[in-house]
Amino acid sequence: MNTELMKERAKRNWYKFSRNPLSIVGLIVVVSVILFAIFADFLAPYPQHAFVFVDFKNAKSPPTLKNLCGTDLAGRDVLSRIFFGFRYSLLMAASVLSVATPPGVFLGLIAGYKRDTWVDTVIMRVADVFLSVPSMVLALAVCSMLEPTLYNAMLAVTVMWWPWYTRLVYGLSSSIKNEYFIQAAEVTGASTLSILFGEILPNCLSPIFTKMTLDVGWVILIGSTLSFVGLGAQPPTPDLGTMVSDGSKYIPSQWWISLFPALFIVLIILGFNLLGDGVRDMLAGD
Amino acid sequence: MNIKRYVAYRLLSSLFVLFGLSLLIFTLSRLVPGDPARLALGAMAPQWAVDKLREQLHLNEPIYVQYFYWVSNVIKGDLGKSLITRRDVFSDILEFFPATFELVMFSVLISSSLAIILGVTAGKYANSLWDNFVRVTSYVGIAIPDFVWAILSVFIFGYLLRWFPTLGRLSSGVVAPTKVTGFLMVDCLLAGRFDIFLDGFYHMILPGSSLVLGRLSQEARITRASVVENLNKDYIMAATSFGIPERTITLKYLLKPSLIPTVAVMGMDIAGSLGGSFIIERIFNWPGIGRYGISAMLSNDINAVVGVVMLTGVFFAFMNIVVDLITAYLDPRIMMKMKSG
Repeated sequence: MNTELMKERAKRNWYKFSRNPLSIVGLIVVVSVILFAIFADFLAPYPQHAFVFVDFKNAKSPPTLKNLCGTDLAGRDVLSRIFFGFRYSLLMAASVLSVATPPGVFLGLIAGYKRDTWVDTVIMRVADVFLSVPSMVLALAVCSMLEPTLYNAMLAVTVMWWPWYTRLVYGLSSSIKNEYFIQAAEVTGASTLSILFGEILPNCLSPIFTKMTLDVGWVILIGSTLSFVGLGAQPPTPDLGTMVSDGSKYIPSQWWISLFPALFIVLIILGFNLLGDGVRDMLAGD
Repeated sequence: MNIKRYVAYRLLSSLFVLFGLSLLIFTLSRLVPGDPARLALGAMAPQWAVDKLREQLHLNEPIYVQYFYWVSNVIKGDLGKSLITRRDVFSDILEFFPATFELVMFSVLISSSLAIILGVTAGKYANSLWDNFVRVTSYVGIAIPDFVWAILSVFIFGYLLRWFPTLGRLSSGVVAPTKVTGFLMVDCLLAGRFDIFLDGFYHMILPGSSLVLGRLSQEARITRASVVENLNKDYIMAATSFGIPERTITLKYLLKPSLIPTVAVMGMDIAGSLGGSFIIERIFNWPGIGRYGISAMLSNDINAVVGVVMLTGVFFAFMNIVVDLITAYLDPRIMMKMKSG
């Protein structure tokens, strides 16, 4: 592929993506969240407040110019902790999706290609088992059986996440396998692995990629919920869900401690959802 | 395939899936580090007591033998005893389940009916101001986690405006009518106590609406998309050219096929509400299976956790069958496909 063509394609994709102004809003939100997460040490007004820090003189201060989102019970600046909280939200989403997607996709590819054989039955029924309870309930249960830490919460969400990719790819793969180019590959003696990864997988990439972008918001939502209940990240980790949960005990009088982290959770999820819709518009029918 | 065979087929396959779920959750629960017997008796208990309890709970046998014991008890309706409260898990779950059922049903009914109204109106007047309003609100609605909405509504409607109660199922001093079915709202109606019914309903508004928002937004978007798609179909144009009034077209011809995707995702909705109820019940102190489950999870009460997960699975499987039957009623082609497939 020459550079001219690539440029042309990028231009067309950008046009499709930016047709909806909301996608641009999503992109801006996501990029700024990522930047704030990476450079939290420099951008946060009080980076030393992220973990253990006590300053009772300035505790429970409502939002002022000095502390834009107020301070919590130990006198830590809420806004600084929110910036560090971005890190854990993004880390959660990145690790869950990068661990859950490959096996999910692989199993879906095989099950779809070997449709109506025992391989299909075994894989898809196992996936059904993982989807037979609401995903939140399964994640909570798995979390509770392990030590409640951020990493175990990631593990629990990963355990319940892969079947969605298996289902998605299964549908695609089982219909692609009837195409002529697959038959041609079979006739020329291509190995199963090369058919799966060389022929079928490239045709599934756009839906997978779209789903991943849309899923970031969901993973962050579930992760923050686990932390909120107390089965995820533990204090003093500046996780947004934990912060909301800590602050919710003081809600009528010190509302800012939980309200601002909550609003930022909504902002992150909203940003990724808008971006995901934009990516879908961009990749649809391509 | 007729309807009876379809239901039988669905029941069988859910039974199979539930069996798999029990294997999964049981194995997970026994793989946890830590001794359940020691956990149940506490750190101060003497070693011989722990050993005796281990014997009683069959903890010294291999996992598959333990599973066998467990399954044969479950079939008899015995999910074991809570390691913390020493109460029977099955009867505890039966006691707490109705509250959750009422809450989930309340929120699913509200979210589906509101979603249909919003989605149909938005789709019928696509790209109007109203449509854009519905779209933007549903974007925000999906992005708000249940617990954030719950906290916001407690803050705004409970503390600032003081419109709704924020804790429990009934006001203090109000005594629930005698138990007949276990379902509070049904019992109130059976006893003819409309005042208690209203009080219960009043308490359900905030927790119920916390479960509504996310589902509502998604369903409204799906309904809108399918209305827009169906509006462009030939049969609508044919009906319009015959001079059939628009109202009749919408209600009689457009609505039914447009609702198929909405109903089809209702199973997912129930799952979402059910999962969300675990968090919501904790915030609103709603005496349901979610609050019971979360406190069991936080205190590592394995028997209770396994019981709650299994019950959620059974309930979810049952609701999915109901949803599938409604979908099959709306779209008979599904049954035809089952026949050929």
